[in-house]
Amino acid sequence: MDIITALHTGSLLVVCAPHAACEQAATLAAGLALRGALTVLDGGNRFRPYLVAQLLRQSTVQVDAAARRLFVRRAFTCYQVLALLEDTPALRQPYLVLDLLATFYDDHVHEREARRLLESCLWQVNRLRQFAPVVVTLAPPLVPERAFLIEMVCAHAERVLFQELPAPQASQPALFII
Amino acid sequence: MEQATGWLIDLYPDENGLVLWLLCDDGRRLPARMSFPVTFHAAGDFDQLRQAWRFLQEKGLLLARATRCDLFSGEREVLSATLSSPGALPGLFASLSRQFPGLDYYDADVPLPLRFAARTGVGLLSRCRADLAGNRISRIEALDTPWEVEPQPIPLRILELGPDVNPVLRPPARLRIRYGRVDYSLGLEPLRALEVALGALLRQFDPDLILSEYGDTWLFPKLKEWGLGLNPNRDPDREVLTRRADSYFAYGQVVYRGAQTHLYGRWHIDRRNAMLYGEYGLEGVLEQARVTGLGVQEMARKSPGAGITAMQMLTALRTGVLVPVVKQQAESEKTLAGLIAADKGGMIYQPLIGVHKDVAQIDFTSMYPSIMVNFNISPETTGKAGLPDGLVPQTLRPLLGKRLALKKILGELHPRDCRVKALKGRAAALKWLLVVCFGYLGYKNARFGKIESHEAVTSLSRELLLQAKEAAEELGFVVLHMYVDCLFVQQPGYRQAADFNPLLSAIAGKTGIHIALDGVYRWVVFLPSRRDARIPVPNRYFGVFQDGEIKYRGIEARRHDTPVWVVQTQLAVLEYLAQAATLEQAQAYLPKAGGIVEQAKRNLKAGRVPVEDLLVTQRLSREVAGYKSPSPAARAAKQLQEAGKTVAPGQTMRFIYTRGVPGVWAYGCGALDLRVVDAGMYIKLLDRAVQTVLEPFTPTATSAVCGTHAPLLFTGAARQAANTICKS
Amino acid sequence: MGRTLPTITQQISDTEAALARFRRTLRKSDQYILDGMFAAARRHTAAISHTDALLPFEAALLAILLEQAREIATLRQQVEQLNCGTGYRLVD
Repeated sequence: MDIITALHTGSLLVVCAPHAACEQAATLAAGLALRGALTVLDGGNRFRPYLVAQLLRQSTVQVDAAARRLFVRRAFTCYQVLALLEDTPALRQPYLVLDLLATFYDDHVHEREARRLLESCLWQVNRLRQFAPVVVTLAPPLVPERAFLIEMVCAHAERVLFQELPAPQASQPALFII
Repeated sequence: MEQATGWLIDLYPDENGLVLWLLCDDGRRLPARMSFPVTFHAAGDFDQLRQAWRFLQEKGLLLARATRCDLFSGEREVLSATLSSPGALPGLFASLSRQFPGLDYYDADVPLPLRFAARTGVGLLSRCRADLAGNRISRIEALDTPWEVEPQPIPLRILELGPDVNPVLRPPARLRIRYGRVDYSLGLEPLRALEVALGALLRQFDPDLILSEYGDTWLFPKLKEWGLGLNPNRDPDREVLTRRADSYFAYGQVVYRGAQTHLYGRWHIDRRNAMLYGEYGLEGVLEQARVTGLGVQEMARKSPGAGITAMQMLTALRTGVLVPVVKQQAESEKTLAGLIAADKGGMIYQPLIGVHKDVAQIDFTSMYPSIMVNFNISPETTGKAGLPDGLVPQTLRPLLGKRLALKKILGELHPRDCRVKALKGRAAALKWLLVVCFGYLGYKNARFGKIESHEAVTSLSRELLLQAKEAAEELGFVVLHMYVDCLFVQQPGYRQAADFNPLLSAIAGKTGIHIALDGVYRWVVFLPSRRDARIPVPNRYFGVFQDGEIKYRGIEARRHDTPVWVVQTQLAVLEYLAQAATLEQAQAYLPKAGGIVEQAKRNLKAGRVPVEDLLVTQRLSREVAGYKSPSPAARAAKQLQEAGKTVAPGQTMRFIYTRGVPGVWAYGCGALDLRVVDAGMYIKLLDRAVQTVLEPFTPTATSAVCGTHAPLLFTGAARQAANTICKS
Repeated sequence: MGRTLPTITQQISDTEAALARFRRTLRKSDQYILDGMFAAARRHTAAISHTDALLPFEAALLAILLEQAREIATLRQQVEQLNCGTGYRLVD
């Protein structure tokens, strides 16, 4: 599925994959940055800036220009995830929320509190999607008892993609781009 | 009205306010009471606040609307709630936040000693004067500050307690007690006799501090288990405060914290369960308690990070800044390029591999804290110019000043002066607080942390280090190595300390940060990677200073898991080499150095090495069952479990390598048959350690011996011709 | 919080790992030289990091060239010394 062409204002696409699909997310980020501005909200340290830069370089020599269109913010606790979403303005540019739930498995955060915070986060996600497409990536639950958090996110999605871990393939990335 | 002058040594809540304990100048240990209402705040959605108001009103709190300062968002309308019983706050807050989880809460979980210090100016361990009416304090004032460089020493009565053997190894039979110069030994059986004797000693000596061995993890839990009617508190109306053992993930590893027993009216410190006690001793613990405002019992067991957090809370309370319960500040937006530029640590050079002579090591003094203070780096000031000192610089400035003052005093004292040990402990304790303050600036749960501030500090540190490098090169020095806040520099003919003074002045003038000479090495060796001798490693080196003192980093002697026998032998070789007056002479010492190693091996094979010197120490990183391929530590842990002992992740396992399966013997699992010790394994460990320190001096080494240039990389012929060309 | 991006040292290691098949196909003597090139890059991780490059391996290649240039200069000096027989110090 070509994710980029499937995105439109109002869409919420959820991708649930091992490692929160971080490599595919990097490819998506690069693809979107080539087309225009986008915002990446990283909830689980999944953003791979150097990989994105390499992918941009595969398509353009104007890496700096594309990189300037890509805006990143990181959150390190579930409270920060909510704060991040709350003060992200709703602009007409795509949003890529990486590993939204990573910090919600913290056992210092009570389940009830995690649920409450996530409800507020999803309200914010829905606010953002009124103006631009939103893609949320998730990893398989770290703690089985909190798998309900994934269900909560998926319940809001227009489309959900579940991906299995692909079979390992030997590949030689290019060192020099000609 | 009576006045009492002395030190505040404890405070805790009771039903009507606070109980305070004063260690008075006249020798009394005086309990007193004081009313102390406490206030916390809530902010957020107006409807929720209105409901919260009603909830609190029904509980009889004094309520008000106020405008207060949030460090990040500025002035904020808040609901202020005051209750007269400070002890009731935790339970009330828990209930309120469960009912209204969407509100933002402030000042709701600030430790009581900090509140008290902020309001009255009197912190724990402060000298103070109290006005008393009966046993109630109507007024209290501080007579000193935490920043006294040489505070009046507190005349503590210290009772030392400990079992006759390590309870981990086998059940103790006696309790050893020391008070002053007198030693006592009490049998643990019969229990009634122990109860009577121990109680009598406590009453007789009435100690301010019980300094124990295994008090947290063995003695006090056992006293409770045995049901003895002995109350070790000075306050007879209290039960001891106990906290459970815990394993948690911090600083990239699993940490184990043993159970804790805290007393009321007096202190209990368990040397074996006190964080960093081995580093700075009792004087250091007292110093940290003094400057952080937390109690001695708390600070002995908490990490320096908790101390820094307490100091920041105190600054916030004193300056009217709200202390959030939960940190919610998120990172500001960055472009991709901006993220790559910002997300970096300190500058780390790769050293010139090899042996170098007459090298000066110069260190910036408390570089990161100095940057935070000098450049006003604080969550609310980062990226803004012309603002007054932020919360973080306000907190750190006196701490930095005090540490520098202590170091100055130490520098002026003779090494054998009796004051040196205590001063060193205090300076080390302050150093640890300063070391962690930078990390806490970027810590995700730090109340006043902000990643942009953290990044600003590292950015400035890189710039300042480059400025130092440039200053050194302008003065003709070669920079052999740089590591975050220190440089190794060399210039032919420069070997006395005074030779480097112009450089230090130039760097201090250029950067605005104090820099000092750590020492001048007669020779220093920068080691390569074990994987490839052409790859430099930034933090593995050893050398000898002009005064004969040896310094080493990253080698086996610094590793926690290296057995003592290997450490001792490696250091013996180093100390022997250090006797050489010059680098050129050092090579002549090699044959005899080899003799030291051979003797160590003979001792091992002859069984003359104590078992304790062969112990390997490794941490258990997870539950034993969680290992797919059990590490030696895991195998040792399994043995302990099979012997009926409890092991937890984060605990340190001590074991001996043995021949055959399972390949380890866990220390504490009965007696060891010395014949099964795997001597071959220990000799291998020793050979590796000795090779580290001897190989750089051998003729076959590719490293330059007398010059400054790195070995050549590419061709075999070039490798052979690795000597530098020196002017004859 | 604190650092989340890989260090330059890690990036060089990752690039080395990505070129494992290339390295494997080389003769042993050439593998040694290739390893030396990565070692040369590792000597200048601080400088590479300081470029803030979006593609740091480009700066790593410059570091490798720098070390090659250094080696050429040193070898030239040695040849001249062998020819002339006079002492000569390489100026930094």
